Amino acid sequence: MTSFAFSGRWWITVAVVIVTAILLSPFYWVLVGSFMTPAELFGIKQSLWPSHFAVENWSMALERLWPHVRNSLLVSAATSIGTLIIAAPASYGLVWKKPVGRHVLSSFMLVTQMLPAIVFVIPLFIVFSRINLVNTLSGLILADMTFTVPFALIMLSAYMKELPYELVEAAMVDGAGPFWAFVVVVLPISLPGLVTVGIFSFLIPWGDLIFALSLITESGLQPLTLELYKAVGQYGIDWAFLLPGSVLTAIPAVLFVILASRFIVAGVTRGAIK
Amino acid sequence: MRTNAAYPSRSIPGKARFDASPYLFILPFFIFCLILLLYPVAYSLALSFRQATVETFVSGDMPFNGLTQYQAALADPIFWRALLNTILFAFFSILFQFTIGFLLGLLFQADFPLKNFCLALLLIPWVSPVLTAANIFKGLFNEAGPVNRICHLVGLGPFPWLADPGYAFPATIVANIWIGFPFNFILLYAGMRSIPTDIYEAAKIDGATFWQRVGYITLPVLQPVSVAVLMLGTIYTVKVFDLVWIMTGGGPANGTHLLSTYAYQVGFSLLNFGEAAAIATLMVLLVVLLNLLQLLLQRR
Amino acid sequence: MKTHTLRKPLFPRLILIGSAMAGLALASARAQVTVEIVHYFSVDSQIQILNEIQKEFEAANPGIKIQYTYVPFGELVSRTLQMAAVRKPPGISAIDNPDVLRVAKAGILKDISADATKLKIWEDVYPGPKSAVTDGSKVYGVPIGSNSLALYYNKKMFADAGVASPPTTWPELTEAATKTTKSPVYGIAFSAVNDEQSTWQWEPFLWSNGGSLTDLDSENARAALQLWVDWVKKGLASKDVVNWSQGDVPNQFLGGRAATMVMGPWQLANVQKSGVDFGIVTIPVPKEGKKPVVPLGGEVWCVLKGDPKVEDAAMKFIQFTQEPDRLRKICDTLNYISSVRSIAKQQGEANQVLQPFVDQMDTARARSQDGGASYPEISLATRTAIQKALTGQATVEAALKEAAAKIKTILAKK
Repeated sequence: MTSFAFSGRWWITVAVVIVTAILLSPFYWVLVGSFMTPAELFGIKQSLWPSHFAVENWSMALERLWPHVRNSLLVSAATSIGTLIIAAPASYGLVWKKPVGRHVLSSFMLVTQMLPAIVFVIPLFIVFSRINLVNTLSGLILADMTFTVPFALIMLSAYMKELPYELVEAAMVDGAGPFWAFVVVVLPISLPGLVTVGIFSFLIPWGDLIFALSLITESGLQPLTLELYKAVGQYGIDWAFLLPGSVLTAIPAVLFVILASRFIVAGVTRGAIK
Repeated sequence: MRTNAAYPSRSIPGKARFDASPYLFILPFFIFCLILLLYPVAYSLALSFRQATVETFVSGDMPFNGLTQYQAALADPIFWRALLNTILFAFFSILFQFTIGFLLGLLFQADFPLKNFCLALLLIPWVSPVLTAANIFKGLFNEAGPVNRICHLVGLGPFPWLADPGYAFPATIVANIWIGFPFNFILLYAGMRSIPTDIYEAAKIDGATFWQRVGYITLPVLQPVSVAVLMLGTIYTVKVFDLVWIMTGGGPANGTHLLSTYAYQVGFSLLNFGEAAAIATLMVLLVVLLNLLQLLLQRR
Repeated sequence: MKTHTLRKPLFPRLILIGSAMAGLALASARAQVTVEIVHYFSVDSQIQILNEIQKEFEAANPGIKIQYTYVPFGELVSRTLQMAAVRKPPGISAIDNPDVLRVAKAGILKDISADATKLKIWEDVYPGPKSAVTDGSKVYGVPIGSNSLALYYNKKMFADAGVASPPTTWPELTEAATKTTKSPVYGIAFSAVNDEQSTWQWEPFLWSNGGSLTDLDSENARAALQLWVDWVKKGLASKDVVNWSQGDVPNQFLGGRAATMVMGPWQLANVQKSGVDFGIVTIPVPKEGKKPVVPLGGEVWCVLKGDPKVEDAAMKFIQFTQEPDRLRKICDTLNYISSVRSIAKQQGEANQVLQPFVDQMDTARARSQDGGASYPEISLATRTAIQKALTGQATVEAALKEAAAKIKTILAKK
């Protein structure tokens, strides 16, 4: 898509905004409800707009969640970077070098994704206790990576297979070593896939509850999800915390995606074959 | 053109000589994965063959009882209901998630103002904590909630959405579709972005319509990505737990149980870890079967 | 010269030795025992009182340090078991009373009968809570406090509908509900969700009618379940009760969508804050003359087997919390009725609204009495029957028959 006049594309924006609004409409309840008191939320009137804006819900939620943002950011960023560093070259190797035993590895990766959470809850706690990684952020990062790395391998292998092999071949024939071919040719072409996998490798730990629940009991190290989970108390749900808290937890993630998605650019392959 | 004498075998595809370099990248992590993942799998498998309840768990002295727990699970009518539910849940969730994700991916191919902003917004259902999403839908499907009010406007009677298993089950599927479509959307979108635009230009010149271009170019080139997305989608959907557990708790009357929620109930409400491990193993078998099925269908 | 040189190195040496000894003495005095307490209290006021007790206790016992570990409500028992399994048990676990005997069966709880019976308040503990922690002569915990269920009602709605006085019997309750039901308001709200909460909410009705969980195929049980089924059928209670947890029910009551609700004392503060003109009465009984029998809620301080020093320190902490004035404060802040008769009486007198709960404590029954360590499985079978009957999937008779058969097999296995 070469340069074009923006005015021609506005109709797409309109269509997209409408579709987005429809698809996100359930979330409206969260936004509006976060300004209401629980009684009003469930009251007879069931209004679509809060009668008075209970800003104290938000200030209280912000206060409770702010100390944990650092933990979530650290874990998510580290998991994402670590995952890409390991999975990108590995998937390249698996797809283009076609080494012996790659099917076994792929199958193993796939099986790791199949394990239901319940399988992990107890043994993970036991293993991590024994190697003293309980209540450490590095332990949590490692645990998250056991999920994101296989995921990244599977997806990146698929993206790599999409690429025209001629490009890689051409680079190698031109004298580039395998590593150099990887950096200069493969990485740029597979950027959309890399960025997307990187985004998910960030978002998965961001929303993870199971690993955090099993491994982190120390309040100071808890990520956002655990703090938010405290909204589920023994007496019922603390809506005044849960609703604004959910929006607050989602904001950094959405911001990150806005930033990162700029890199899911097309057309890098344009002209490359020529 | 210089020939590359230094790397003869590597520039010829298909010659699968043992090449260690890919493994070098992944070896350290592979070992760690092995320990960290193999242990839970082995542990869980071992647990499924032992009587592991409150009484025996802590002492570590869990007596081996062979297939007893598998038999118990297979004899339980709730298990079969949960199995059926899981299959239906997976089928309908994936069908709609993939379709919506694919269509959105197409819609987003062009560049337009606010594109990245809307893209990020559409990830919200996936990024939100499941706790919130589950409660959103619990509220929407409330007897006096918005869904019934909309139905009322169209003249349809109020439905007992969450009070009747026949209605609660579709409600959980709708919630799951909402949560899952962004995953399909973004991954397919990225896959579509990697397709060189020249091919589309050429097809347009040849007179292909939009849908013909999609059918003959997008779908085939996207196949590896589609397969991966469908495979992962199936796996993740079978694993869905929080959503159903929070929305219905598996009820009413055990009618909306998935294998995951049923396993959890057996393991953590009844503290019968052994039987829960057996159910979890059966779950994995189911996923393997479903994936094999998908692969076979792909081969056609 | 000689003496001079001798004194020089000697003096610093003395200081060195002296400070080393002082350091050693300080170190051994500082040799601390840490008691980790695993719990699920999450409300601000609860955390506050826990911290207060911690400060007071540590001040009075310099060698002991208290460390609180919060675990989500549904995870407490399994987390305690896991910690014990990796040989790193907490010092104390605040376990929900129906689970105590079951966890004791795992062999990880210390039998504290020697120390418990020496507590000043021990004789005065109500029979219900005491039975939840006692197994023969062994005692596995000390109740922190108790709660149960009673009937909250909306005074204004009653007045508007012409209900003269709050109901005391089932027929009166049904009548009051009928009068106050007017779309979108329901006469009564309760929780019949697919977990322990529905069995818990049904137990007052089952037990007050003389029924028992171990014999569900009886006329008593059938009548109790039919009561609920009729309410839903006649529209006096919402069909959604099968999806409402005890957290959803107050939202209905406070939002003005229900005239009465079956609820415990822990919601009292919320209800008072809401401005609704309400009253509380004991659970209505099947007919006049019968006494309400309600299930017991409330957590128990349980000491886990482990390092003897930690066990002793843990017991000291528990003794500290059971001193009458402190106990009173704890129960008031943690929304409990005290398990100790004299203190519960004080609470009732200080706050009239709590009196119905206090009155019910005499006949309150621990859930583990109805099935012992198999209670969770029995509860599961029971609530399946409740839900089947409420959703119309089975008649009351068929549902209860099925549950009774299942329970028989469960009990036979033990």
